[in-house]
Amino acid sequence: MPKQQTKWYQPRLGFWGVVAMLLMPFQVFALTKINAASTEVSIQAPAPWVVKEQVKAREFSSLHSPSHYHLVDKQINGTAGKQVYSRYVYTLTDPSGVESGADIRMRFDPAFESLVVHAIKVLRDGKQVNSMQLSDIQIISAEDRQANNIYSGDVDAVVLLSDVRVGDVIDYSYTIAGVNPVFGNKFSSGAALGWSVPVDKVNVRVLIPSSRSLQTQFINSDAKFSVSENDGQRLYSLQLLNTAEIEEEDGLPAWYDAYPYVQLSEYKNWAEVAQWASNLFDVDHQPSAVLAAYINTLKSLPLEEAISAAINFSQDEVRYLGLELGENSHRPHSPSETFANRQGDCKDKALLLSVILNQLGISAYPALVSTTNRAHVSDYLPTHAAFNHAIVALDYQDTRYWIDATMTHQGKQLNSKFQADYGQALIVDAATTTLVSAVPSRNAESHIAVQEKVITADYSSAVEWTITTTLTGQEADRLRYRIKSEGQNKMAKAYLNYYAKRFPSIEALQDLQVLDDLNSNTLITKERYLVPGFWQLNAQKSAEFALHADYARQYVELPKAIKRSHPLAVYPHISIQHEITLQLPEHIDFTDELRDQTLQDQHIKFTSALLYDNRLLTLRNSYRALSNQVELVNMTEHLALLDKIWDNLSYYNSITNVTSDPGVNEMHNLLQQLNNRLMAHSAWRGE
Amino acid sequence: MQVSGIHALRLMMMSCILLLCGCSSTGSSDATPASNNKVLATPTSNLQFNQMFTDALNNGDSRTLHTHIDVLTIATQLRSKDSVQFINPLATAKNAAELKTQMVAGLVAISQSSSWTYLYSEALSDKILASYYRINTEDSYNYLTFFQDAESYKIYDFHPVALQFSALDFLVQFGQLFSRYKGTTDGLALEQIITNLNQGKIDVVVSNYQALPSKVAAEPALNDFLLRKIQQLPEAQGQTLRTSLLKSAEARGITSLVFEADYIQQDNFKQAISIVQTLPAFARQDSKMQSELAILHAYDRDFTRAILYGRQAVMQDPSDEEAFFVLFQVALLAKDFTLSIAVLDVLVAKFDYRMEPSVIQEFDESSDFMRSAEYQQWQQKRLAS
Repeated sequence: MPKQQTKWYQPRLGFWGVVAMLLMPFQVFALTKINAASTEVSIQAPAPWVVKEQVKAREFSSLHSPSHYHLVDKQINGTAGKQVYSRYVYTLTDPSGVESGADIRMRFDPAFESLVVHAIKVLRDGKQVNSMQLSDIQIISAEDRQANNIYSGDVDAVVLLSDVRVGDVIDYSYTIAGVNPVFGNKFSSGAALGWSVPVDKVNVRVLIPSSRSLQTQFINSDAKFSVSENDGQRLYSLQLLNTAEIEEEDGLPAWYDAYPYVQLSEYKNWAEVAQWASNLFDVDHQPSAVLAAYINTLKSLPLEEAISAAINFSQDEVRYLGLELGENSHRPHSPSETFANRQGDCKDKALLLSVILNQLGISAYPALVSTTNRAHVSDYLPTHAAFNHAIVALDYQDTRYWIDATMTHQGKQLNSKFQADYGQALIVDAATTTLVSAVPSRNAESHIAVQEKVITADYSSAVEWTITTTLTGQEADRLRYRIKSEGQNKMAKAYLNYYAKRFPSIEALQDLQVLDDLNSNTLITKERYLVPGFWQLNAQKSAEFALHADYARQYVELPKAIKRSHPLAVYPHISIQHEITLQLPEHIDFTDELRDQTLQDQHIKFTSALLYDNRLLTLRNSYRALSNQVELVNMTEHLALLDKIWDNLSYYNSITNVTSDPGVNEMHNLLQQLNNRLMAHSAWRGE
Repeated sequence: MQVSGIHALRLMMMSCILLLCGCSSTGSSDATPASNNKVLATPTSNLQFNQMFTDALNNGDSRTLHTHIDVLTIATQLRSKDSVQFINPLATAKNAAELKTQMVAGLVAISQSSSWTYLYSEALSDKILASYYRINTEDSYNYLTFFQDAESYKIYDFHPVALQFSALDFLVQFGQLFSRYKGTTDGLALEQIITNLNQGKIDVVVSNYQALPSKVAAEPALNDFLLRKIQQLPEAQGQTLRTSLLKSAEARGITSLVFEADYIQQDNFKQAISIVQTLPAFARQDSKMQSELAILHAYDRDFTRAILYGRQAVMQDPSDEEAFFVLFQVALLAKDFTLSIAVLDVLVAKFDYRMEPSVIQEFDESSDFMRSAEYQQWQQKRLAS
């Protein structure tokens, strides 16, 4: 499965939150101080360049619940290294606000940053009621991504305030000084301008030497900087009063940011970013003896086979592990080191694969991408912080392939490997001048075909239900991973329990069959069940039944937010065909029920057909994504379309007069006996 | 084993042969086709088309059959399968027309002694439908696929399951076979086989065939041709040729439905079962073939499988009385008297059979059942009601 990691940017905690940050569950990875000797924390007054903002008092009754933010202040000094001053002032107006707002957390990377705490005050009726010592500050490891095998070295400085009450004002400020030397001396930063709560005052100041030029870009905001020069320094400043709360609707495209933000970058263009990246990847490319020996074994293979083997090796035999400490947050390890340790993160694996392919005579480069912004990287200013992932661009037989070396359990051949659509990429090469399209020319689509057959000999006995599912592309990769990591038996049980929600007495008639063609990347599963309770006899003695061809339901669900201000994501590059056929005991005229329709807009296409052929009633639905998002202008029609599609995912009907057929009870008894014999022979359940 | 079917063969180019080789163990009631020409409405669905076509087949209605087999599509398909062999449009059109005539004649001939049952259809692509049929003779079944244009529903080809090739594919492959060996000693040998066959010199044909190099003897088009030819021959000659073909097929690990009856006659039930298992899914899953597997497994004394296949036959078509009779026989052979009673109950209640003792004793190994407590009880209940 693809690993999305690498700290290529400062976490944009400010976007979703001041509040979100404070509401983060308090995860204690270690209650002792970590690397206390190497962690620089002090309590000092703010530096002279910081301008203290005044905070106006307000009537308690006019304040928001559970916390009311009076001030969010961010001041950045880029004149000598980088110092970032932050201050938050908020009133706790409800016990739930006290619950979350009484814990202060300040994150930094001690490898190159130091923390100076200026003040942490609890104000009650205008007076400070607490005191703060250095010993109140606990340093704990903050490895949020260790579940993904990524270790950044970040720590949280945590202060747990005591005796905090409703009505108290919390006012705390601190400066984090230092910058990862891997970024050189290029300035890149940003500041959030809105949150999911209103804020009385937002203050942003950025100081930079006048000799350095800075690009600025506002996102989702009409704000503008005031710019002034003084004493060889340029000041960018802005203040916003009474910022509105931003409602983050569900179903947003991953690249879409609902929050206002300002971005600042010293990079003039993407060529400069590419140059920076190229220098970073300029580690020792010379293969070690063992790596060279491995490359020689590849050279003995036909070229395409060698390419496939190299990719498979980097994906499946080099463990994903992100030790992104210090400069290794962005600088890859040498290919020989990655090869020797058989572990690395995305940039390590990308570089290793590129070097191996180069040695085979193949043009291949690491390429930087963003798994969130994808094709919208160019919406932002050029910056080293634009990317969070590295893949490989390789050219073979006039085709460019985009290979993700962190994906595992893929098809084994180059021509059938799924290629993720990352939208835009920056090729790590000194000659790169701009972003390029990273939309794969092939194998970017995934397809799922589900074929179900329900065989019934009467209208009361258990039916036989077979399900054949065929997956290609990323869907095949995902299921393959699940089968290998969970085990086939566990998966079979999970499937059975899932169906048992609808049919509690369901029994499996055979083990889950899995046919996996790694060459074509096609994975097929076959299931077979005996299902009592398929038919439901109603008060009118009619046998009710339901056919569900709804595999696509997850893609056509209406969002919670129907009245929207933001676009709606459409899961791209997927097509689904789901067909269920009910084989009836006799011919029944369904002519009046038959339908064949297409429901489509420019974003999705859905077809639904109810067909009948000689005792076979089939509901056949297909779904295909045509784009990756729905703009606001098309929203109303699109949501109405989703509603219509929902009505077609299933078919319900009943067969009348089922209890008056001759031999009904005798047939039911015979089928019961036959099914008992079937279940008794677990070693053989049909061929 | 009974076979029926009429074909016409012309050397090299024209072969439209319907071969019917039934499965021996099960049988059905006679069909009584009656010619009944009537004006045909345009079908509005493929189901309607096949219902009409089935009626026409069963009635030997050649006019309707003519209307629904399309010469143009046949010609187009021939050209697409071999643009070299069918390069001449006029000649191809003529071939297509002849093929159609022979198809209709063959289908009508079948209808004289068989009935047709439409099973279901499947879309092979946006443009092609496959409609699956069962042919029922007095003591055997066979299966056949009709290929149709998905838009007009008109038929342009068919494929009996016993043969490797459809009618059109056979035409193409047979032509290519002779092109491949043209001017060679193997080519001469092939021509000799055809000539001797036409002259009825079957013993010579058999020795010609056995003398062929194995690569040539294994040619699918040749074997398909010979299988088709078997039907045309008098029984003894047909048997001679068939034995030779069977030996050759066995040596190459190839089976054909044609040989199923031979294996049954030899009590080689396992081999007969394996042949049925090679049928395409639509035929194999039909209730008749599931019953076939049930009885074959029962003869092979594997009663677990026999009962489970019997169950599948009933599930597949609960209105097929024969499936219940076969299941009853299987239950008797398995000495599963509880099951036997349950089947009897259905035969009586659902299908209205009296199932008198005189009927039951006609079944194999019925005496133990008739002496059993279960049957005695069942009889008493029946007499009392």
